[in-house]
Formats: sequence, C-alpha cells, structure tokens
Amino acid sequence: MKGRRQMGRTMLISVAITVTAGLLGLLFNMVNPNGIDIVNAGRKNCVYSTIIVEDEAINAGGMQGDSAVALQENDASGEQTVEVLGQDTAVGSAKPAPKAIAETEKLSSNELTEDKGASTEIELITLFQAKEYFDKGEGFFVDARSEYKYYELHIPGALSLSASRFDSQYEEFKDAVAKDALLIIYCHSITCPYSDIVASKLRGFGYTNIKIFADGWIEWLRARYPVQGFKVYS
Amino acid sequence: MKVGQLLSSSTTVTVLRVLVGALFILAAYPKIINPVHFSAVIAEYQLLPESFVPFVAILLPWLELLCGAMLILNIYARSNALILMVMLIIFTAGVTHNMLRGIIHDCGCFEFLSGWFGMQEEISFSTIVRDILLMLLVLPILLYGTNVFFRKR
Repeated sequence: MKGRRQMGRTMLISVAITVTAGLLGLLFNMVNPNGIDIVNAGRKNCVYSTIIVEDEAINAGGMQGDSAVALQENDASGEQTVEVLGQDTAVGSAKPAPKAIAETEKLSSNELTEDKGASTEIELITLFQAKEYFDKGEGFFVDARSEYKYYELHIPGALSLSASRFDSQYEEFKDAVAKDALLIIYCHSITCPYSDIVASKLRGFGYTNIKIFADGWIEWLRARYPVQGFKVYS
Repeated sequence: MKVGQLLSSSTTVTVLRVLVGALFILAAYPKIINPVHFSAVIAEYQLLPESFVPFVAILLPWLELLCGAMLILNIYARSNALILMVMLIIFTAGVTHNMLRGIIHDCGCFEFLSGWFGMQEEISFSTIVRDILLMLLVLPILLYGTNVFFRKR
C-alpha cells in the first residue's frame, strides 16, 4: 500500500516536472531568436507581394477541379499577400497545371542567422518558375526533405541535401556543386521549414545564388510534372 | 547480493546522478539553442504528426535540462529518473523502429559532439546499445534514489 502510494507520488511529481519543462520551453522559445514559430508553423517572416495567378482553368471559366486563390494580409509588413492555395489538381486527372508567376517574392527569415555578411534575403520562386528552370536545365534542384522521401520520389536530377543530415551530406554536395551555381531548394510544401534551414546553411557556406521553390514537392506532384525515384504508382 | 548492495549504496547513486545529470544537460544545450534543427530531426523519425513536432522539439530539451539539473542537485531524483527512463525507452523504440524500416537519419541525441568534436551522430545499432546502457545507469537512481526536495538520503 505504501509502495503504491510512493509510486503514485513519484509519477505525480514526474508529470509536474514535465509540465514545468513545457512551460519553460514555451517561454524561452518566445525570446529565443532561433525559436520555432509555432503559430505560423514553418515559414517565418515571409514577405510575399505581387503574385499574378494564371490558371488556364480559371481563364477558361471552367473552374475545373478545386483551384482557389486566397488573399490575406501580411502580418509582418502590412503589404497585401496573395497566396495560391489548394490547387487540387488530382494526380491522375488530365487537368492542365495551374501557372502562378511571382514578380517579387522575397523571404526574410530568422533562420538566416548563419549568413556571414551576406544579404538575408532569398528569392522565392513558384511552381511555374521552377518548371521553367527545369525545362531549361538551369541550376541544381536540391531536395531538403529526408533522404527516405528523396529516394522514394524526387524531381529528376535533384540532389538530396536533407535538413537533418545536412552535415554529412554536404561533404559530397560541396564537391559536386560550385559556390556560384544556381540552387533551387524545395521541400514538401509551402509550410515545410526545411528549405529555409538548408538555404540558411548553404548561405553560411558561401553559396550565393539560392532560390527556394516555395510551393514545394506536393505542388510539383499535383501538376504531374516529371518525377524520378523508386516509388511505384498504381 | 554484493552487486545489489553496491548499486543501492548512496555513493553509487550519487555518482550515477551526477554522471547522468551532466550527460543530459550537455545533450539538452544545443537543442535548446537551435530548436528548429531539432524539430527537423524529430520529423525525420516520422513517428509524430507534423503538428506535434514543434511542441515536442520545445519540450524535450527542457525536460532533459530540468531532469539533469535536478538529478545533480538531488531534487526528486526518482521522479526525474522515471522521466528519463520513459524518454529512453521511447527513444530506443523509435530508433529500432526506423532502423528496421531502413530509415537512417540524424540521431538528435548528443549534438554537442558534432558541435565540439565534429562527430556526426546518426542512428545505428550503437545508438541502441548506448541507450540501453544509459537505462542501466538510470535504473539504480529510479530504484534506490530519494524522492524528496533537498534532503540527504
């Protein structure tokens, strides 16, 4: 009986310590310059502007599929934000890919603290622009997702440089890619933070020509653009 | 019998408290400073829903720090040992699960090793062995440690 009570007390104190640790962590995260942006979960201090959306389906008046464009205010700068959301071009349908052209998308990220004297702005590009670079064969596509995901499927010719295994993968990467080469970094989707992490680290290592393909892998897949890997689609 | 006496002696428990406490404080420090990287590592485990990852990335390092510090100061040592034991069991299960799936990624364990000594730690069989060893170090504290606030055993 006494042993059970002691065990209960031990567990109760353990829960109290865990809750305290959580609260301390949240408080510290609020003042930590490298903290996680829980509210926006991923992309930080993004400043988007002037995105022209050209969706062939919308222009045709058809609204095939579930394409939608959402407008919202940018909390950081007060500028109007235009974000392309939910272009649900289902994989397997014959709908043409939506096109979105970004004139001046810039990313100013807290995660760029590792930059050494370089500008803290990295250009964001859209699906359409990424495809243009792909078609022209310009630059290197860099997959910031996990290696596991990369091996499953990736943009043809892309190099794997995952956020979590950056240090070990960078050893090979630096030998293959020149410092002034154009790098187009992508991860899973627009909310995924790994592109920012990898871009930040690459800037720190002296790479100067970096663009982030903001829409990411999911939009590339939805647009039915070419993919490469070992995953078999039924 | 002699092993039991040795493990339950206050000197052994004190040495283990300080050793394990210091290890976990060292493990916590880089994760507290750079939680974004740690969240990427947690996501690589592919065990949690994406929305939970930032919270776990914030909670875990502070739990390690708090438990480590309280172990060294002998404050509620058993409760802290219980937390660390649960964490180690979950962590070992996660590493084993991913190794069986063939997913190799950063361990996210003792990142000060890469910061100070340039050692890159990925999950491997040795990670599992090390965790089991750590569990064995924590066990005597859990069994024979005190669970009071600032009082000698």
